[in-house]
Amino acid sequence: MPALSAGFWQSKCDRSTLCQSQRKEVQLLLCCARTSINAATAETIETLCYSDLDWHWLLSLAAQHDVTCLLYQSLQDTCPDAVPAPVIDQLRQDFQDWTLNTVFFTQELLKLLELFEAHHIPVLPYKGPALALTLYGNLSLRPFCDLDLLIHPQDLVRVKPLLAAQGYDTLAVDDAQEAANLWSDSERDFVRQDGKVVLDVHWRITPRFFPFELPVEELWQRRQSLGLLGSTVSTLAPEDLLLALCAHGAKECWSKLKWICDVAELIRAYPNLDWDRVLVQAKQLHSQRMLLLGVGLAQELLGVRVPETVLAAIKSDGASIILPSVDRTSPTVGGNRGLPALMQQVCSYLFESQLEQSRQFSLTLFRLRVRDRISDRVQYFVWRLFVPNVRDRQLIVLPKPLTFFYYLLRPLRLLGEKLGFVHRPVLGGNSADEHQRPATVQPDLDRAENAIATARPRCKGLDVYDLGDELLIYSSDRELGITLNHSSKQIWQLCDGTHTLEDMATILSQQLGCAPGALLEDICTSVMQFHNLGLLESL
Amino acid sequence: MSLSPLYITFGQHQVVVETAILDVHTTLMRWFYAMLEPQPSFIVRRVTIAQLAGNYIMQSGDTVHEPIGEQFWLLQAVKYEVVMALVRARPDLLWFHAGAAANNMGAVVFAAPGGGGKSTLVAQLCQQGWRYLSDDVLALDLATGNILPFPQTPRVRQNTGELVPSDRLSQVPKLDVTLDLDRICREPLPIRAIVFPSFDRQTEAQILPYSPGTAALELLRNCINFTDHKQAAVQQVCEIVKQLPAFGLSFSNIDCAFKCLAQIGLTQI
Repeated sequence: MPALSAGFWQSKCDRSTLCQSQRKEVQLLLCCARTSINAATAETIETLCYSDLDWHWLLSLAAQHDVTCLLYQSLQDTCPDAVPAPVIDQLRQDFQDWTLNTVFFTQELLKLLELFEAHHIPVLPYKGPALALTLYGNLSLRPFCDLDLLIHPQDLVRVKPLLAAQGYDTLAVDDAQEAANLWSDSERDFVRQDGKVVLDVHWRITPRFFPFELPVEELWQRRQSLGLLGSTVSTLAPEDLLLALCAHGAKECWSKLKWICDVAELIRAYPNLDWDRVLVQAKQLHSQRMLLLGVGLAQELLGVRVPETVLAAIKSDGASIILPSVDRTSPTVGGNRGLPALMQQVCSYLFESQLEQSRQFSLTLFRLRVRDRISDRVQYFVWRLFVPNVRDRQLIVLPKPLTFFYYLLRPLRLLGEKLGFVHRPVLGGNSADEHQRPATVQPDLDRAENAIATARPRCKGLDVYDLGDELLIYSSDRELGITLNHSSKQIWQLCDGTHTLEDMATILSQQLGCAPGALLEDICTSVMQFHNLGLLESL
Repeated sequence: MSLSPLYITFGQHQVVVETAILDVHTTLMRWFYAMLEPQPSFIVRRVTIAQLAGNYIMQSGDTVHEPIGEQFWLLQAVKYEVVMALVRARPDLLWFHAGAAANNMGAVVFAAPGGGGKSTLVAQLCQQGWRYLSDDVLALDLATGNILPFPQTPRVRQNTGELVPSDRLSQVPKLDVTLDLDRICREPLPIRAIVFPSFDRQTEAQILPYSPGTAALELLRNCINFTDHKQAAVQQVCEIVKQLPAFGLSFSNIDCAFKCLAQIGLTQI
């Protein structure tokens, strides 16, 4: 049986105190929801693990917030012996399943990027695999349920037939109407016919009802390169990504911890972030409050270090902004309606379960309260209630002279949907609400395993020491040491970028005198372990 | 009464401890008696201890530490300062949290974190005629592969009869083990075997061979200054574990542990 064991040899860092007022499970989740754990946090994690925890609730909380993989990695690295065996086994299984999914999604993404490049369509992948690798340094640590691409608005009509040829469906809209859709909408969902992949093609970062007008042209000019499974792709510059993440989080009311983790990991990953530019741009985009809320949450909940200027801006928020009062009696100036109150509200959304009944109402209020300007709040209602989008235009096709009727049709359609008279088109779900993604779009494990089986893993140039039957690998940048037993060593030596997993099984089966099929599962597991430990250059 | 400074020596390097507090002076002299030199040579750190308003004040180099109320904790702090100053004075060596005792065939290294049983095993071997190198801190010469003695007085935790959590181990009193000076090893020695002890109340004693890979990882886990050497440390440790036998020993009873060591031929003088 292939096996490896690992040890980290890192120095101790400063002590910090985090999340002392919450339930222990929440404290543990917050301590684990990060890629970099200092000695003090590791100590807190270990102490919490040995306390009286509701592990079942912790696992469901981690799943709810899409941080199961981070939880697993942190517990595994910190104190695996302190975690009950069934819990760590479950987490490991989830982690391995998710790793297979990420490879499947990433390969699909690369295929699509190649397709667009061949047709000279500039595309920026963001969120999904690009985000996982840019911020977390590991595809497996940041779950995603779809792929997101950012294109120039005028390219939508070119993208549609290309994706259709690849087996992707989208809402049936006449191309003649797309100009109106480009104006009113921000994205279009495409779902692969086998239901395994949802692709969101964006031409704006956020919907028009929640404006955040960072032009795609500017994003494209400032793009950065990223190595993704051996290919080079373009993605958002870190400053743009931070603003985009904060806008997205605010739109979703920061209801998942993973979105706050994204902000925290970005700040950790880019210590030289141009904060002045970020603050100026946020102000220009009237999105300062959204930015400060996202950064404030990352600092407060996940202990990320933030420059003093940003902290000062967070503290001063609310002093001059007129916000709608939560009790709907009158507007309130600053005071307890500032960022601290919003942060408190987010914490309630995140970790308290008794808010469901008032959630929809609170969600609308929240989206209003994070806006800088009153005009943005008015715009929210106008766009939500009256401005038609692709779904209205898809419901009834009106001749051009009568298109103004769509403004009357939209409130009626929305009312009809509420009352159940009108059925919303189900293709890909509502692109504005990530919570509502249908579970059926997750690719199945078999398919992902097939994707793995065709991969040609290549090991990184690490320090390798031969110990006879074993191998010791030392990764100096991570201060990580790993030993491989005889079987794992043989698999490692075949990770040269030329062998598929099936090739490896064939070669090793000849040496061992057994059927290749009997070895494939062990080989797959070993290669995934190499990948998860960051030992592979590409898969 | 004026008390003489204590010149605690490792090779050419010395830490000098100065205090007028008799109890403290006496204890430190007992803890480091095999490492004391009468005269100063190359002093790398000066530690002074005074008493002020019922508290102990320790100054190490230019740093004045927070006042300490209890003598027990003061002595722990002084010992830590002394050892770490000597460790830092020789960054060319690879330092381990380990003890060692030697016979004519070489040294057996016991590497483990605190509470693993290093001191107990080393002290027991020395009482049976082995020569003493260290019970807690050990230096490896990367050039020769030999280990260098660090003969602070072995101190063995008293058996409380209770399971003590790791964060309270330091509170369990230790007893000094007196060794004749001729039992103290002064010269570098080659390693003959490595044992990774662990105190486990669930088992009387069990010894298992460790593969080179496991031994390398364990040894590096117990390295004090790994970041000074990194690749060189890994390379040297790999060379050592390829050539030497390594074992994991779990025990709760010292006699049974010795039977295990005897089974693999490690207890003969």
